[in-house]
Amino acid sequence: MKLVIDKVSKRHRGGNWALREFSLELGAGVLGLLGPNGAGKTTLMSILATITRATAGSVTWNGTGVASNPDGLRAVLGFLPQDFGVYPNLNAVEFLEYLAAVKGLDRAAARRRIDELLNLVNLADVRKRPLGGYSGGMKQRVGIAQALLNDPQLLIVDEPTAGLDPEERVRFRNLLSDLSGERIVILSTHIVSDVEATATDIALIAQGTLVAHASPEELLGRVEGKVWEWVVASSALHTAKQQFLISNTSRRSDGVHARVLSAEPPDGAQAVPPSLEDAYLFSLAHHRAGLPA
Amino acid sequence: MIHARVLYHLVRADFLERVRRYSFLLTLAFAAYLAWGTATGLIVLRLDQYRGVFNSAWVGSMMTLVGTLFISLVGFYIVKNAIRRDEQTRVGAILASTPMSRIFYTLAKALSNFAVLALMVAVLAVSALFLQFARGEDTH
Repeated sequence: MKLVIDKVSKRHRGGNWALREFSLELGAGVLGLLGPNGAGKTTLMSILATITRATAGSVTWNGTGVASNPDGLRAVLGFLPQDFGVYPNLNAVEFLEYLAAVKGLDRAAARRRIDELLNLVNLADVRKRPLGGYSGGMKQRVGIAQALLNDPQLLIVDEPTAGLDPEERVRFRNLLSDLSGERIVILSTHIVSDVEATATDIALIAQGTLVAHASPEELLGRVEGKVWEWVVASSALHTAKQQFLISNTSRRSDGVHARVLSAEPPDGAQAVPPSLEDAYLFSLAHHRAGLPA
Repeated sequence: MIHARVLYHLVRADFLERVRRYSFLLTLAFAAYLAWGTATGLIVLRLDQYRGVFNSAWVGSMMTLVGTLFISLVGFYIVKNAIRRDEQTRVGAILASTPMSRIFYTLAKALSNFAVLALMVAVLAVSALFLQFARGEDTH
C-alpha cells in the first residue's frame, strides 16, 4: 500500500498557485497534514480524492497513475470533505444506503455496515430523523460514517473535527487511532491537538509547499532546548511579542507566563519541554523567514 | 445486477429528496386544483359557444392540454436543477470521489426527473377520474 505524490502543483483560474511542487510518499499509518488556513491543504485533499486535477506533477496509488486511472483509487477511497453536505430530506439510513450503493456495496453488506457505523458514530437513536434537523456535529458524524462505508484503504478526512464538541472530538480521535493499521489515513487540519493525538507522521504545509515531513518525535526534537517559560509584566507583553516568537500566554497572579520559542533564552526564563504546537509554530516561522524548518 | 441496484438507489435518493420538500407538496396541491378547475368547468375550452360533454374523452383531452402546460412550465422549474442541487448540498464532492460513471449519474438524474414529473401527471390523472364521477355529467 503506497501513495506517492510527486511534484504536484495546482494553479487556480485566477493564476495564483495553491500548490507548488508538493512531494510526499506515504505508507500505512496516520499522516497529520498541518498548516494554516489557505496553505493549500484542501486543494491537496481534492487532488488526492480525484475531484481536482493537478496542473503539474503526478499522484500514484500502488504504482498506478491516479489521473489516468482514478477508479482504481476511488474503489478503496473514503473521503470526508471539509464542507460535507447531505440531502436534508433523507434520513441517515437512506442517505448511507444511497452512498453505499454508489460505492459498490451489495445490499446485505451495506445494511450490516450502516448498522455498525451508526452505532460507532453514536447516531443509532436518530437514524430515522431527517438529516436537515441534525446539528452540525451530527452531520459531521454522518460524514465520518459515509467515509468508512467501504472500509477504505485510503481515508482522507479534511478538517474532520470542525463543529464537533469536545467529547465528540475525543471520540473521533480515538476512532481514527483505532482505524489506523493496514490503511493510510490522511488527516488534514489546522488544530495541532487533533494531530498530536493520532498522527504517526506529520507533514507541515504553508503557502502551497511542503515545509517539513517527519515523525512527531523528530519535530519535537527540532525545538528541544528552544522553548522557554518567561514571566513578564502585562505592560511588557507587547514588547516581548515583538522581540520573540511566543506560542502561548497565560495570565497568573505574578504576571503573564509566556511560552517563548528562541535559540537563546530571555533573561530569567526557564526551559520547558516542547509541545507539538511549539514545533509547528517554530517550523512555520522559520519557513516564513526563509530558513530551513 | 449491481448496476441496477446503484441506479435504483441514485434515482430513489434524488426522488425522495425532492418529493419531501414543501414546495413539491404545494406543486401537487396546485396540480389537484388544476384538475378540479378543469373537471368543474372553471378552466374550459370553448369552440365558439360550444363545449364538450364532461365524459372521459372530453375530460381526458382537457387534462392533456392542462397537463402539458403545467408540466412544461411548473414541472420544468421543479426538475431543472438536478445537478446543481448536488453542488449546492455539497453531496457532489462525495459522489465525484466514487467510481460511479458520469453516464450512470446523468441517467439516474434523468430517471429521477421522469419519476417526479410522472408523479405530477398521476395526481392530475387520478384527480380527473375522481372529479368526472363527482360532476356526474356523463359517466362514459
